[in-house]
Amino acid sequence: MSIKINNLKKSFNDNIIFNGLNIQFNDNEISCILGPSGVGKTTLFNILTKIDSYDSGTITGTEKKRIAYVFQEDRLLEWKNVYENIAFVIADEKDVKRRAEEAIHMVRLTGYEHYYPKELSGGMRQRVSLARAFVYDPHILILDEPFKGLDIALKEDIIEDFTTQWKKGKYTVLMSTHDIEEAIILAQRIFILSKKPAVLKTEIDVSKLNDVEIRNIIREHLEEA
Amino acid sequence: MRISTIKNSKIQNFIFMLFWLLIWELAAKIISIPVILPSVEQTIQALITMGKQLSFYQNVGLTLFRVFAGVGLSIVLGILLGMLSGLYAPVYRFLNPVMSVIKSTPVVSFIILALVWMKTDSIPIFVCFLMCVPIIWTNVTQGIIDTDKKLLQMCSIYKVKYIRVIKDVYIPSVRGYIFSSIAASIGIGWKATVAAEVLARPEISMGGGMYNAKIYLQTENLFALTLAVIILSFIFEYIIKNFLNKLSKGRQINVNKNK
Repeated sequence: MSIKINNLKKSFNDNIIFNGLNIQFNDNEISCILGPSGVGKTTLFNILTKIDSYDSGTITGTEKKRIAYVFQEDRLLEWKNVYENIAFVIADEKDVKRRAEEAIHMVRLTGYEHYYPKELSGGMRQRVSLARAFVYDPHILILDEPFKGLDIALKEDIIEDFTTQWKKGKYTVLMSTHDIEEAIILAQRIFILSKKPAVLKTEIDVSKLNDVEIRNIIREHLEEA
Repeated sequence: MRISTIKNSKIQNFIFMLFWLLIWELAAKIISIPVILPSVEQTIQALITMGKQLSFYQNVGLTLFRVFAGVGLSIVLGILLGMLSGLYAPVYRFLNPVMSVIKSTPVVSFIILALVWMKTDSIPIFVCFLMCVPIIWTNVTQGIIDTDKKLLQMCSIYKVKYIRVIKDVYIPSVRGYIFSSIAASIGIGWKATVAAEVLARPEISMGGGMYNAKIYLQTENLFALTLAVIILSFIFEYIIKNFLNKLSKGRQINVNKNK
């Protein structure tokens, strides 16, 4: 069942974020949301994960689903080491050690298992947060600018591993980013939101267009936004 | 530079302490009535004499036990109630009036009430507990409220079990608050316990000794016992603070060991 958002309305006091947003994310696809800063991408993710409430509208397709969320900030437990931070979210499940080690390997942090967050760089901390999401084995994975602050080579490696892993299990991924190239490499579908209150400007099916065409559409719409 | 500053401040502390002792000694000389103000020498002499008697150690031992029991009880209950109050607002609203009243009630009112309610032996423990529990409760409640909301959101998204959230998020967040409130309550616990002993006069107690010294106009004994209480309170506080420091440093060392 895809995630359907119908006529979503949300405001913070006088600040109207959504005034009837309609959007649908397909199951087992990587959907990328592009839009200017402050358009409401994070608010949308917070609503989907029930961190924020919404004023009216309907959301279907997230009920009883395991949702993992990679926040813009890493939100690690400072008193737990890398391994413990990752194992923390699956501590009461099976095969904790193997799964945690796999996730650590995927984000290229093997050898750092016993390091504490304060001993890691910003990029490494973000990778721990990514590994914590991967290990959770989610039905829906939400990534809010997940590769921000990673250097290009590392980003490419992690994206490659992530795509391989995603192809094996196939789950729904919603990702926000500012990086057009990142969106083109990863996404099957790109959504562009325009500014305030946010509406869906356009939706691009990546498989039906070539990279140049996609880039042009994105630039055109982002400039308008 | 820093080491020499610390050294200088230690020398200064010592000089100023000597200065106040000198003032005491001078005042005693001028008054020259030991019943009103015994000299430093007479006080120390009285303390040495007391130190030769077994009953002194019995008194010290039992008073120490009462302080431990009172502070210990308030730690256990203060942490428990503080956590519940931080986690559940109705519990906070339920307990807040009681804690506020306890905080602003003079210690002597509780002692007099306790004299009516209970056996003399348990009064000092009860009073010490009453004086310390609001301090620990307030700190722990605040610690729980101050726990990083973003970490709690992360736990709720990943559906981490509540018991694990308490153990791995709330307790580590509140640890610092617990330590500082324990350190703060020790001094107060001592004062409250001894005050309660003076009025309740359990058979074996330092406070009882103080009362007797007053009755028999042995002011030098009263001063000596007060000095003993001050010294014991310092030692007690020093040991506990060091222990708590080691406890937090120990975690730090483990961090490095695990590397």
